[in-house]
Amino acid sequence: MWDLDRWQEIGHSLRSYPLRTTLTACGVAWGIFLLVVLLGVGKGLEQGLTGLFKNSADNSVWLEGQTTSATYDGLPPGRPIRFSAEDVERLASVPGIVAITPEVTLGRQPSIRYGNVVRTFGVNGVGPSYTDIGRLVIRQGRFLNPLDITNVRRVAVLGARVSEVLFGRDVNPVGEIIEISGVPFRVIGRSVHTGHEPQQRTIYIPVTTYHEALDSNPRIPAIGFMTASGYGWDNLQVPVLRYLAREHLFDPSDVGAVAVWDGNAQYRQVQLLLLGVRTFIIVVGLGTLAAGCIGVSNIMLAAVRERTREIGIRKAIGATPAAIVVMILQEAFVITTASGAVGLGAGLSLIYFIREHEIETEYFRNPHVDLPISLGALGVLIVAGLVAGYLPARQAVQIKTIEALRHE
Amino acid sequence: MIDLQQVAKSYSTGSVTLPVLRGIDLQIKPGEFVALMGPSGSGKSTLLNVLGLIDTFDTGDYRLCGISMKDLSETEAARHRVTRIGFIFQSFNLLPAKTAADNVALPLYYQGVAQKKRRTQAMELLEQLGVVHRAHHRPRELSGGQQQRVAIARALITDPPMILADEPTGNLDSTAAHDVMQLLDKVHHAGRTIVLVTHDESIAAHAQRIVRLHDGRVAGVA
Ligand SMILES: Nc1ncnc2c1ncn2[C@@H]1O[C@H](COP(=O)(O)OP(=O)(O)OP(=O)(O)O)[C@@H](O)[C@H]1O
Ligand SMILES: [Mg+2]
Repeated sequence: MWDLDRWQEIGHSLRSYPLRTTLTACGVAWGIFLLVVLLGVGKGLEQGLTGLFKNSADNSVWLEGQTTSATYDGLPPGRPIRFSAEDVERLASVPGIVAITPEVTLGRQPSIRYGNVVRTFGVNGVGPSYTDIGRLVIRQGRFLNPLDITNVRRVAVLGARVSEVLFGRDVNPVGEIIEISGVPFRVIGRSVHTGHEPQQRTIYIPVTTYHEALDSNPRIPAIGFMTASGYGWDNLQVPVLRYLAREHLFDPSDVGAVAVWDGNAQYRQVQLLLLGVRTFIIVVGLGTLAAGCIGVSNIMLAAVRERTREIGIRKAIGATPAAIVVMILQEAFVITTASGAVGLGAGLSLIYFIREHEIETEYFRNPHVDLPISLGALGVLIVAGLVAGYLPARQAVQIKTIEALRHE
Repeated sequence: MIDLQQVAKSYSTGSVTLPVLRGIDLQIKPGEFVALMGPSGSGKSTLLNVLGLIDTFDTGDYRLCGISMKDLSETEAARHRVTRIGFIFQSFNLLPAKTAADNVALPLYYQGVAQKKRRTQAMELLEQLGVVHRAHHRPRELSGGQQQRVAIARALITDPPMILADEPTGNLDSTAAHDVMQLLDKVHHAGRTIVLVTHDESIAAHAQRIVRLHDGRVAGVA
């Protein structure tokens, strides 16, 4: 049944109708190619979206002092709100808040020097809890500890990219001395390179050292904290805002005074967005697959009709109907499998290329293709090709030989 | 070899029923060479197609080598065709995409003969029929006479006891027609039964017996 002879006969048939063979092959290859690229791009989009918020735990909340937008107790609007170290301490004791950190950043990125290498990177003054709240994962050394803060140590934790630029790839920077705006700091740790992109380009130092060595203004522009289970911004905003309002003299209902970034709300939003992206991809993917199936069916239908006379001749010289149906099915199988494999290969190559050349944006990174799903799609197309070949083939074979012979 | 008893067939197009064969009784002995003649539309081709099992009949009975051919399935018909019958058409009916040799070898493919054997047999036959030099050309590169010889080779390759030919010289000039008839004479002398449809008395003269059809009936035997 699967002897060489039969394959030669099929190869012969396929070569006899080059246009049709090419069209079918292109249709199937294109369909699978689109599907694979779609799946890959979808995955990239998914990765990009989740990566976008990788710098905050799902149960984290960030507060940022803004300017008041309403009068309060005779004070005019437009007053800037700046948190203080005391705020951080006081908020830490609010029930429901389990970890808290200040975050200070220099307005202009300072120059960083190691040996002859001078670059600029962001420098953040934070507390020890920042690793949890900001989801910073340490690969070498350690992160800041409470003693670093209280002793105002000149120590720094480097983002992976910073370390790579200053020290080179795969070099352990722990123990080295770098200069930030001319002030020497000892490197005590380094983050993994798979994290949030901006975090990798940042140097983390104790918030106390920051104010002592880099910026004498004791302002704290942002505070981040993590909520205990059962707590969230929903039930923490009243005590937190009431405290801050009393301390900084603004109306607790003044939404302009403090900007709030709620990790949990963000998380839910991203999940919703991901659901949307996935649904879109499933719908478009199934659509592509359906279009591919219809395309293959149409071509098979036309192909069989075009070959009615050939089928008549084959029958007249002794081919059984079964032999002819099998011949057409094998042709359909060969053509969909071969061209499907080509489309699959092309799609995988494109995704691989995008990945290798790190073509990525904020919303899109690290695309990859789910191979089982792609192979499944190819299987569906092959089955579609077989069904699409079988129905018209059976029909064609049932035409009386003499009528098939008269067909033009 | 062939035994027809009151074989009848009609075509119904819409509400009109057109009887084409109106009860044919005909016996053909093994090794006999019979010519079917008659005016256009008298049913010659239809009868030949029924004999060749590429068309069906409505009533009566047709026995081929003693076996009834009534209400055969397509698959059974295919089996009888490939072993007992070689068909030669006026319009050759070669597969345009295949070379002459591949066309000739194709019936053996459906008999399950190995490829090597198919090739050698096809080449031998083409040699005998004088077209071996065209073996690797496609039909459209051949003259009408050469195409018909290839078609004859294809009909002979399964070594069938019966050859059916529907105006095999109808599309050929007189020289090519003469060559084809000489070939058919040889085929006949080799012991095969031949039924040939023709309008040409000189072609019919090659046959041992002429059966004349008129309006779907046997009008005379000579
Ligand atoms: N498929 C068909 N549907 C309807 N009528 C048909 C069909 N095939 C043949 N006929 C009719 O049957 C009759 C016999 O046709 P047939 O082809 O057997 O004649 P013929 O004797 O071979 O004629 P010719 O000498 O012209 O080849 C004709 O009247 C023809 O019109
Ligand atoms: Mg005729």
